[in-house]
Amino acid sequence: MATTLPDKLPEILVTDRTAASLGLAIGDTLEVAADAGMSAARSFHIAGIYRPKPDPFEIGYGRLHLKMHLPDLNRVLGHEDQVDRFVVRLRDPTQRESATDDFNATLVGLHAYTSENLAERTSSTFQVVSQFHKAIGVVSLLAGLVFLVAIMVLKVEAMRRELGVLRLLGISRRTVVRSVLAIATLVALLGSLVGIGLGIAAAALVNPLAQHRYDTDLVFVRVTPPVIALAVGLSIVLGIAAGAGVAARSARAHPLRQIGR
Amino acid sequence: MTPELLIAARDLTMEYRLDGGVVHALRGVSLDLHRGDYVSIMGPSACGKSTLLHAMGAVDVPTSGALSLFGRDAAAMRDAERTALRLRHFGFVFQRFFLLPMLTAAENVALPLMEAGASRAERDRRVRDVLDYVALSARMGHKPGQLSGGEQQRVAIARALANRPEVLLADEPTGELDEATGATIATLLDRLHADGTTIVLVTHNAELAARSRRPLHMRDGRLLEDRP
Amino acid sequence: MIAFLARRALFRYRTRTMLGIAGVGIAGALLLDMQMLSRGLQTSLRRILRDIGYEIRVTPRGTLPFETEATFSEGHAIARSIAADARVARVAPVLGGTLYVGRPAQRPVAAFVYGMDPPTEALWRVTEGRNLAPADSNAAVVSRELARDLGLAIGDTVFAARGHVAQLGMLQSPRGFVVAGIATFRFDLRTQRSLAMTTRPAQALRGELERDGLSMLVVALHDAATSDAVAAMIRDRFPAVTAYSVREMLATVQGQLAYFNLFSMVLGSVSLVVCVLLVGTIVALSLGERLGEMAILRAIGVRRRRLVALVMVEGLLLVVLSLPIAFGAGHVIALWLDDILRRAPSIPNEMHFFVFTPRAALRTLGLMLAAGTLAGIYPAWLVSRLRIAPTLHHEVMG
Repeated sequence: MATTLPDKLPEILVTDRTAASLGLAIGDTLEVAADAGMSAARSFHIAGIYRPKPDPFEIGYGRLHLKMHLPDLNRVLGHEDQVDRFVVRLRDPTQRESATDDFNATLVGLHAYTSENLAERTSSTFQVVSQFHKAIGVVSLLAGLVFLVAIMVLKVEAMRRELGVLRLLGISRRTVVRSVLAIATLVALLGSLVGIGLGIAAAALVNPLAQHRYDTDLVFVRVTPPVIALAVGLSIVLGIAAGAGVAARSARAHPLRQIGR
Repeated sequence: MTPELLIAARDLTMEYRLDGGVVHALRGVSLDLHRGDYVSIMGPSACGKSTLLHAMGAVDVPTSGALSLFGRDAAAMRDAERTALRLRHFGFVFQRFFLLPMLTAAENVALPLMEAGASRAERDRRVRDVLDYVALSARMGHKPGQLSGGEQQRVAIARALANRPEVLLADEPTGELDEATGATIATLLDRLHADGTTIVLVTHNAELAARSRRPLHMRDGRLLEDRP
Repeated sequence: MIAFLARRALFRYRTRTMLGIAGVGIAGALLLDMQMLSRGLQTSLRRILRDIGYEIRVTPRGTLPFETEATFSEGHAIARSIAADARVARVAPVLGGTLYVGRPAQRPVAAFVYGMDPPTEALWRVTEGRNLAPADSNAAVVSRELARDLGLAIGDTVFAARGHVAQLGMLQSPRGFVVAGIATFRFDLRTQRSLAMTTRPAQALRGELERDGLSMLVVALHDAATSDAVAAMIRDRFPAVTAYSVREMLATVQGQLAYFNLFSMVLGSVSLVVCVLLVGTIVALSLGERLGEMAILRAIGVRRRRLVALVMVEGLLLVVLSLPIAFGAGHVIALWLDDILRRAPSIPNEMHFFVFTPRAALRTLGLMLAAGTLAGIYPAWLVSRLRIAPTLHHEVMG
């Protein structure tokens, strides 16, 4: 709703989504009220359009946001000098713990938190999601372990004649076990490298698609060096675990039976 | 009266293209097989004996030449027709027996009957009959791993006989067996022939070949002599 | 014959078959869980809404119920106007918002108030004491958490106010309510404290009396099939509000569950790929060992397409045998994952992320069978191209 800019209209900023949704541009006038009937609406001048920082809690909500000065918000809401919180910048940030303690001792009815404290308290949702991801990871690892053991059983059964011949030639059980373990570990390791490649490719695909779909700059999938190291390490452990039982079974079998006699 | 002509082969050739070049497995082989024949084919390794057997048994299609199987042109047949021929008119016996290890002797014998659509009652009856014929009724429920080489080969013969084929094609049936056991199989083949089965036998075993009515020799893909 | 041979072939090597079944079962369990997750919250919400029994919710324009503390004015007048429609059975006004609640000599705590007329047990279920009567202006039903935090029992008096004097830690113009009952509030978060009262006292406390401000109207219809039409009528007639049928509300909520939709789609796809790979690998490797047997079957007259069918059936059989593990383990894993996710602070107590529905089960079954079919294609192709004579020759020589 564009009008000639009257003098002294208070200024607000709107997000790019808000501007697109309402067809707004810098310089337009926007009416803001506390209720849908627009009673006691106040007019504001749009001074700027901004892109908000990515917020995972906003994904899919499609909410419209704007920023205004605190007194203006209180006037719109019909409040007198009301706030939800204060944010405090200290001259010496290293004194945040002691300052917080002092505030809590003197401010009755209010509670002060350091940024770290608050991040910890408000990150409980992320902690839950992180636990969820770990649980999925455990189940996936279990499926992977079973898969790997199945493949190793097939592989060793396919090689049983060769293993039997080796034993007949005098190769020790220990060497046979080590060979099978090495095969299992190598298969798991190569598999993990392929998986990491697929993960990187998937991230390259999922992130732009999801960012476009949900109109956000959030990064949904990130493959980092620690993640890669964890994948490789776990795969080695899985390979050894999968190969151990199969190798022991193979080493126990009588060589003559293995060659089919 | 001339017995019925079951198989007529004229100038059959078989070529296999491999990485190292072309292998001429058959070079202009001609052969007639009449009902009641007992033919043996001898020759050195890789002379084309098994290849000829496979061509006669509709397992493989010759590269050139004319082949008539039960009055039908083999070259004109589609795979399904060749398969049906193998099911109903031919019985195969192999050197390595090739029984399915997870099935019992009875179940192995029943396979061709199942494919031919025999009812359960017919199948059971026929399986008992053929296993009885090869003197293995007592081992019906045993798996191949529990049978000796000779017993396995007898089960294989029983399987080959399940659908009452007119022609039995045996590729080195005594190749994996000791002399005594081989003799048992040879006796069984004699009995089969006496009972009316036409037999084509590929073998290295001269004694076995001598029991046939028409011993043939092959070398380098050619049939050397045919003494009816 | 195909089923017979497939069974025998699979169980010839029990260990590998059991491992294959276990592996496919676990992948299938994850697949089932992702199907449950993809619509779990929506299904859970639908069940609660249906249980509550009102077909339409009317809220301040552009908001979902209790998404904000926004209200619309002339709420009771709007309610009466809606109730006059022949399709409407009854309309209940609701006001929700934050108050401070306490007892004398106790530090007040923040709590959410529900003001509802008539106060039927729709948004809460009384577990001790009694529910509110329509004429109750001085009684309240409190949540178990609030009762615990303030040490409240039936008959106690609790004070509520909109504001409190921070420096003195006292309520500002408090009003007393006798605790009539203790209840479970259906949409409460884990740590949320709530109390319920009739609408007028709630409006008075929240400063909404003059403008007759309400947070929501819940509308019950004579015929639920008319809900979309009635909701559309309300939206047209009252521009200050939004009206949602249950279907419309669920569709809106589904859009907000973006993360879980994406997650379930990605992980579901991965599970499917694992199923295909595992079944395909087992069938293909197993076939590779049995080419001679396949050649023999062809030699004795078994048709090519029968062998192709045999291989396909082996793959499908592996999947079918894994279904009990997939569904059993899927349920157990879903309970575990659901328990983890429900610890999130913003999730109402009665909501679940993983909900088993016939649709989820059928989709899982269909996808697994499709995976088994797909997995069999390559081995089936191999067997279709099998050449009898060279294979037999190789078996003899090898």
